[in-house]
Amino acid sequence: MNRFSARTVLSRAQRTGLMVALVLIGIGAILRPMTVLQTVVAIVTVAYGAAIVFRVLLVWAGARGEHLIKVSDADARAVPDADLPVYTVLVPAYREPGVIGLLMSHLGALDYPKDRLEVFLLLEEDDRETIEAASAVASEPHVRILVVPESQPKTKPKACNVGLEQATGEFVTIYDAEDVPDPLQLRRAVVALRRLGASYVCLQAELGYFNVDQNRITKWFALEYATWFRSLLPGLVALRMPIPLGGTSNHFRARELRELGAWDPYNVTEDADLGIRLARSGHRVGVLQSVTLEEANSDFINWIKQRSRWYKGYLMTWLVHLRSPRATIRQLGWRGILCLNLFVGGTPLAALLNAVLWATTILWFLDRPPIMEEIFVPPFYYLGVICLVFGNATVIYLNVLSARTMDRPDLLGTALLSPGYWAMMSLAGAKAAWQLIFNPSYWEKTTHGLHLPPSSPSSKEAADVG
Amino acid sequence: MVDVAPARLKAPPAVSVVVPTRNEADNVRPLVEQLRDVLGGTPSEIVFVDDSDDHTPRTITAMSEQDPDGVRLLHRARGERTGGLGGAVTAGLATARAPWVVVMDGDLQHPPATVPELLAAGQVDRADAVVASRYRTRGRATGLSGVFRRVVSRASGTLARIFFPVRLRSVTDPMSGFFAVRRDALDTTALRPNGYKILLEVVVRGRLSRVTEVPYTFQPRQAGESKASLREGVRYLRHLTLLRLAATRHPATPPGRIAGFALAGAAGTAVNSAALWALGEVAGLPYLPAAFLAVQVAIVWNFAVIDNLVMPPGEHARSRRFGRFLLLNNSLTPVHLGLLYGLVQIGGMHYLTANVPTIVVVFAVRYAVTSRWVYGTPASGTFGTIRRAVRTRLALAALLTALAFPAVVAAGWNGLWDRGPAVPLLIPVAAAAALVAGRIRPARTDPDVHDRQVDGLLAAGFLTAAGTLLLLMPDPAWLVPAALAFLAGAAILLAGTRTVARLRWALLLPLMTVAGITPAVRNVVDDGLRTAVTLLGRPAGPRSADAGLVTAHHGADLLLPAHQLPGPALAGGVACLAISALVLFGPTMRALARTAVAAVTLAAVTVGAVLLVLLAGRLLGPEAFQVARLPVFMDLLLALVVVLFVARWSPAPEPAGPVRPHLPRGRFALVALVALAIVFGLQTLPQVEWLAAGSVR
Repeated sequence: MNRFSARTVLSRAQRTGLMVALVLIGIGAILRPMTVLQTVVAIVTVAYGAAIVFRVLLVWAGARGEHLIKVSDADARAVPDADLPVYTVLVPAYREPGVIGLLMSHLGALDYPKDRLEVFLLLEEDDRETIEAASAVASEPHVRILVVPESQPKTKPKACNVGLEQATGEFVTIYDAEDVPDPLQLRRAVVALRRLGASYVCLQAELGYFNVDQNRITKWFALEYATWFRSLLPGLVALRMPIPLGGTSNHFRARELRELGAWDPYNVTEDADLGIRLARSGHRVGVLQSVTLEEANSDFINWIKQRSRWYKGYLMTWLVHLRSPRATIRQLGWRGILCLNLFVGGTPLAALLNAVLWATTILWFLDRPPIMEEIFVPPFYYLGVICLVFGNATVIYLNVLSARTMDRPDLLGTALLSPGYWAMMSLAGAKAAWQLIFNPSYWEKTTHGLHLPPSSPSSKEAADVG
Repeated sequence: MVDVAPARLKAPPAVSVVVPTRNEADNVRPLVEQLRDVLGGTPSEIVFVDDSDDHTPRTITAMSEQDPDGVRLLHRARGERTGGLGGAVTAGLATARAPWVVVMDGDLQHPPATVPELLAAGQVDRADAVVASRYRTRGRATGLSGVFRRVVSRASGTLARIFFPVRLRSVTDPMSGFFAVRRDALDTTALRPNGYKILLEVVVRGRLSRVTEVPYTFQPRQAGESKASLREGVRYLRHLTLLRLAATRHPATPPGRIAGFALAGAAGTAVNSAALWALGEVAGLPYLPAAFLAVQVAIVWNFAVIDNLVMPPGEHARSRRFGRFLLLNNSLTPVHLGLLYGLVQIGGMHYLTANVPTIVVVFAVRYAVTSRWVYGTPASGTFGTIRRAVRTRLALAALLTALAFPAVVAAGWNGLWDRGPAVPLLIPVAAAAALVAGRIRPARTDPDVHDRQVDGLLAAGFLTAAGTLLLLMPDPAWLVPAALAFLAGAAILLAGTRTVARLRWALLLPLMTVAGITPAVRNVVDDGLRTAVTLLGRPAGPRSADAGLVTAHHGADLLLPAHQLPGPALAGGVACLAISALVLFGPTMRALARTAVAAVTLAAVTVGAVLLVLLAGRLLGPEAFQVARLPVFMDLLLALVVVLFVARWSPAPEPAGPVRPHLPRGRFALVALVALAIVFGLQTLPQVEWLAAGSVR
């Protein structure tokens, strides 16, 4: 696993390659600046177009057949308790004293025999508040508090690895502290993994939001997740491509997970990285139809922080798996390479490029500087126009489609306003790029509980008076 | 059973008697006995402040042991006796526990029988202090031995009354050592006892307003030695002078302060002239640097005078006060000159006449800002400090924007003197400022999540946009959007994304001047104004002609040209009100209703202002008309009305919520912004055209 750790973002070979490339580009820019600019624009346009085509392809493939794994309620309940394996639930949390109580009730709602359930609360040593809050509520014997010893890197995957060492279950899953999982999810996962056979090592459950209607950002976010889990991931499954996992509700076979080396503690999207690594070792991942509700990030700055961490992680994962291209091609095949470049690397890069391209477009309409006519040579200029017109229309259309699959016609306006969401993505992309260079291992902490009403002053005053 | 000792449940004293003593061993016991007799059931305590070297303290201690609550001793050993007699009384006053405190000598020359009279007078007259006077009709100073002593005493009292005619108007015996004072009207820490009688201190420094008197007869000395001496009398004169000076310094009332401020300013003008003469004539400097230096000298002088004599020290350190004073006064000079220039060059006033209102305006601003910003109390607590800092930083962002876009400032300035087709910049800027002032405090629902990288990236985007617009869009119409982009970027860097996001609508208000008022709207508004004005002015009032509104002065027609009617200002003001209401109340009926009320008020004010302008012309002649019709007055009035409405609508500041205001670190950002602003400013500086004389249409 060390070979593919994001401990160092660029391997020595990559570093050298990048240097050489930059020097060559620099020399070119001095000698033939226009040619270099034209080439860059051409490459960017083609890549951008390819990413859009790839997206459409995924939606098309995902919609063509049923690629969600479904286990009916009856089937899930039918398994006698004695036949159920021991299931380990890992809940990493850091500075979340407020949501621990809710977490306990949500986990308590899981329909799974308590004697076969093992819940690990993975808390950090310096986080006394959460440890105390957890000790107060974790009364049941199957819930254990594991205090992760203080060591670098202090990340969620490191905590999960600590939990996995202690786990005795045949299956392992991860929930975040604020998650509300479908009560039958563990049973469904057991049935599905047994039914699918040994080639499937992991199931990703769908993620949704319980606070969709809080504000515009949560609505956009919900639409995006719907697109992701109902169209794009099924499309990846249909095309037999690697699936970048989501941060929670992924259900593993513990043995294979350990053999694979578990999570990379240095990668800030260890889940996406794990998805690629699963594919590299020939394992398959399915998408399970069972929803875990999360808190949609409702605040602009908080959203940017969270999204920038994801983008940074995707970029890291992309770079890490391009370290030995030949091995990657051999293990992933051309489909995997396509997914790795256009989906894992392409998502953050597209977000970043979007800002540049939009700025260029606006500049063109404002001033029509003649230099731009030179930069965009005809074939690529037309391709760019197609991307601008059809590409944007397509992505908006996909959002409208998601409003439909969610059966939420009221989100139509939100879907049409998506360009505002793209601006936020671009900002997050820029932040991610900045951090990838200057602060790669930094874990941008997302604040949870913003959907809860603020503590009211009147009740506090009343308490003071009383 | 447990033995329970009888608890001495005694009421807290209603009166404290403070008795300074020095070698009065034979007098103290009879004094206590007589006091007990006259006070009867009134719970009381007697505090002896003893500076004796004989056995007086022993006698007092003996009495105190019998009655620890009733008799207390405060012995000041040799070396601790600061302030002499007055110091002893001050020490006694500080330890007194009762709401009323009586001060009397321990030599039985002050009859204890008068004590109940003092207390009764205090209750009846609701006084802060009651003086026992030897010179009221019934009282007689028979106890003072010798004519000379009597004359000295009387003369010193009269002297005190000459020094403090107002404060001592109802006091015939300011030298009395025998008085009662309400404990809570007294600030013992403010007293500066200096040997002589403490009553003057109490009345003058304590700024007691209600003082009455009770007559009594000075008793012959029973025992002990008298302390009154000539040397004390000489010290007294000095003390009186110092007291007078101290009482004149730092006047407590606003009119007193304004007067002191004006006097200091007048003296400062003399200093300014003297310094200018010295620097120009004697040192031979060219007159401009000489004038600049003379101004600085005058500012230092003014600060010394105002800080030491006029304003109460406030809570800022002196160096900080001086820094602010210097900054304020130097920045007011351009305002003064600008106003003068406008009135003379554009308003056509004579410069000496114009200087009078200018001085009044600048003085008012100077006084208001000085008393609040230089001598005000800093905001209490971290929340207040941060909120104030956020306000300062937003103002700084606006200033930097002005520096970066002098052309926008020039446009706003020119709009003050000549009406163009657009909304005068002053009105949306004022509305935006009012809106911002009401929304600086974070909302209860705001998460305490901030990110400097987001700030940096957003600001970079906005500043790049500003630069791009500035470089690529030479059309002046793009200047305001560019300035707003710069403002947004600067504000984000200085105050953080969350604060600026909360204020985003306010920052967009100035865009109104670009959007402009279409001629159709303007004509409708102007026509409405004309109709209203002519209707209200009937029968002798103004007429509406093709060229504008016409009024007559001694048969000669005075014209308010059609293009000088305040239509754009009114329309812009209403638009500002509508947007502000929308921001504050959301798209509700309430917003609509309030906008309607405010718009009607604004229209009424505008009509009234136009009528006033025309009336000024009719009554005072063409010169006054020329000045009165300058847009600056009417626009200021409209801006004021808009600001008042927006401020009224803004939610009242609630007590500090759970959300901590956020203040990012901004030093580097500030340096970068200043550099950028200078670069931007140099870009547009050549385009700037200030409205000059004779260009008014």
